[in-house]
Amino acid sequence: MKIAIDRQEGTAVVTVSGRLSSAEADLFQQQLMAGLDDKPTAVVVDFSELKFITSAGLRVLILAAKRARSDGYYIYLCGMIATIREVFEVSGLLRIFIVHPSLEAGLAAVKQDVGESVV
Amino acid sequence: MVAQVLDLRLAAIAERVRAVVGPATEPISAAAATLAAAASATAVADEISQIGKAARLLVEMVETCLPEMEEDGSIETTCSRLRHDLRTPLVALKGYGELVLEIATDEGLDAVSAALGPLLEGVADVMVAIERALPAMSHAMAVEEGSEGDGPGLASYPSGRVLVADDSQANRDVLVKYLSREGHDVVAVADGLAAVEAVFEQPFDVVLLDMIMPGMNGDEVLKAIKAEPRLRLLPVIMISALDALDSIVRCIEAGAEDYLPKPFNRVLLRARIGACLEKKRLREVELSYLRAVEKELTIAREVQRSILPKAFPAHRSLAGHGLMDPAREIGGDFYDFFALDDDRVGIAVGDVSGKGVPAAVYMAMVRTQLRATALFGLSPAECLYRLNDHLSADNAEGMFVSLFYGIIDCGTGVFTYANGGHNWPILLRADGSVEWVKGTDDLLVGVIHGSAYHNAALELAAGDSLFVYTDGVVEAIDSAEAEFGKDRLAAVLADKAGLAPEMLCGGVLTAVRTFEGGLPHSDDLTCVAVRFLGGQADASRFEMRIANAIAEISRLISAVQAFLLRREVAAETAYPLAMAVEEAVANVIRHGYADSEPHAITVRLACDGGQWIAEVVDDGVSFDPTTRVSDNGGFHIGLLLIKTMVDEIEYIREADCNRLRMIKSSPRSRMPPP
Repeated sequence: MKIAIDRQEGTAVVTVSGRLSSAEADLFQQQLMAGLDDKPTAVVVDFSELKFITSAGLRVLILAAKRARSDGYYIYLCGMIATIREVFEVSGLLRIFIVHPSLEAGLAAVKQDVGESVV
Repeated sequence: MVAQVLDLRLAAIAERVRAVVGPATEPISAAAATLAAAASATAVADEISQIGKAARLLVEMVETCLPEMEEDGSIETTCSRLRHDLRTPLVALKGYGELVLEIATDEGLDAVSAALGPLLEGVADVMVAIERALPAMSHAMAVEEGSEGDGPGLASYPSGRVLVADDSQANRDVLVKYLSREGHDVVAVADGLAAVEAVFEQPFDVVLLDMIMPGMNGDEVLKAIKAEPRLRLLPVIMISALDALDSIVRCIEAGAEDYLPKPFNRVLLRARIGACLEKKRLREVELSYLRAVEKELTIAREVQRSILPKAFPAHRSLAGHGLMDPAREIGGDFYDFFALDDDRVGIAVGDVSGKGVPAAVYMAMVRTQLRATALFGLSPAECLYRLNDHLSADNAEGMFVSLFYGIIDCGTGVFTYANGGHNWPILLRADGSVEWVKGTDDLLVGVIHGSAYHNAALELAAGDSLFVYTDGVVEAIDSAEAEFGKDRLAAVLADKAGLAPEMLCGGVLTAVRTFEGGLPHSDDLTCVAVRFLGGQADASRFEMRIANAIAEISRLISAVQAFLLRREVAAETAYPLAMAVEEAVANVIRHGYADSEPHAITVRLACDGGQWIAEVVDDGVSFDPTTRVSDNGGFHIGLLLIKTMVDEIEYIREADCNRLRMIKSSPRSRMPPP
């Protein structure tokens, strides 16, 4: 697993690649939470390079979503391969996360949402 | 001709040694003489005489230096041998010199101390002179010497049993003296074979092995030690000349812990032996800790297993089997099945996020709460909803469970289920066709307070099976990191259609483990198979046995209501009938027994023409309600109520049992709506 967090103005763009299972989840949690500590206005997680996710990875995303909600912003997931999307579908997480087809679409959604909320 | 040229080169080497090293030995001889003459030196007389002997040997070796060609005909090997030989007296001089210096300093022998400075300096000079006269190919290790003497921050190390193997008597003596003084228990042997014998026969904490010994070299002894499983962790330090870098590297690769350059530096020797012993001690602490953790995990695993139901509830139209194969690390899978009443069986499979003891504890909590909720007879969606509210109320760790819970109605074959983020189960039809039991895409349980859960239903025909499983099945991977996957699972099951539930579970387990090809699995593997054998011959009857406990009443009544609902009995009949049963049973439980032993109460419902008949049978004290209605006291208010609810009551005492029949002719008697 590789994680990169890139800041584009107020938006934290998190790229996760490889496998995200219980062995890697702690590191993912540490890094993602550190990213949230910087008080972003939105978090975009790019999954296009992610090959595999288990419940341990889902748990980190849920924690992050709760944190984001209490801090007043959203987490945008984007670019999932079909098998990962199915995990989200089966686990009912599509009810709490909106998944965008690509990083560009995710960033555009952020622009729209954050823009609207400012106005 | 060639031999003559070589001889000339050997003679040139000898000449260089005499010219370069010779003068450097003079201060040593002088210092040795001063030492021998020093007053009050009796405490160290033995050591000083050894110093004198070594000094004379050194001078003699330099003067009579006559190198011989080594067997491999290499000048480099010859020089290496010569360097090795010349260092032998130096090792003794340095070793005894430092030892005497320490004793002399401790005991205030100033004259002795004064003479030792020039002696040790002389040794260092001769070392340099030898390097100049016989330059080694490899100088990579020449940085080792440096921290001479007992510098500041002298560390203290644990003591232990040390084996020293060195063919040089002088080296052995020095090491034994050094190490004994450090508080170690030292055994010294003179060759490799004796070293091997010693380590196989006696316990040691660390072994010091000279690289070059007659018969069996140090590296061969090292290999013998590392090849023996029970000695594999015994640390071995190689003793070697600085220029033997290649062989040192080979030994480190072969499992040696460290190396020690000759001549010995006391600080280095103490540090390396100390580090080995410290490491060994820490390893032992760690091992005992690991054993304790392992033991706790075994207990946790046992707890996890003991929570699983022992057997599928016996039922004439249902067979089932559950299986959990835990991963090495304890995980959070569980399954459960329980009879809700005589017609309905609940089946649950869950997988808790994460691993280890937290997952196991959470799993136990989920299973207990699910049972507590389910036994009230609530629908699957309602159970998940309540469970989710409990679990998400206080969940800082963000734990959750994917949970599938369904109820099979054995009378009708209807399977009602709710799916909180769990893998889609499989419906395996009797003919071998496979359908996915798709969820309502409801959220994992425990994540968000107030999440909605939905019921879904499907109909089972005789011979159909349900197969519910966890990630451990579909996410198992083979050596090429390919997943077992849903398609493979479906294919395995399709192949086994019509087999008993044990065979389905066992078959899937075997298929998954074969697929993994012996690789260790990181997740628990759980599966439950339930096979519907066909509806009951007479689905219009209801029978349930409960214990004589007030807590049993809600289970009974929810089963009665569910039965009447399935039979599409109108509420105006169903409600009073259920209420009459509840009153009758409550009366029996409260007042029917003269002892405090457990008793069974049987409740039956049957439709006979236009009438519904509810029957309550108990083995309590003889009591005929039909004759007791007008008695005073609260005791019989229940009886009055029953009389209001139903049209007729009949009582028989037979075979030491009370048999109360309550007859409701629908839909004549009117009841206020519930």
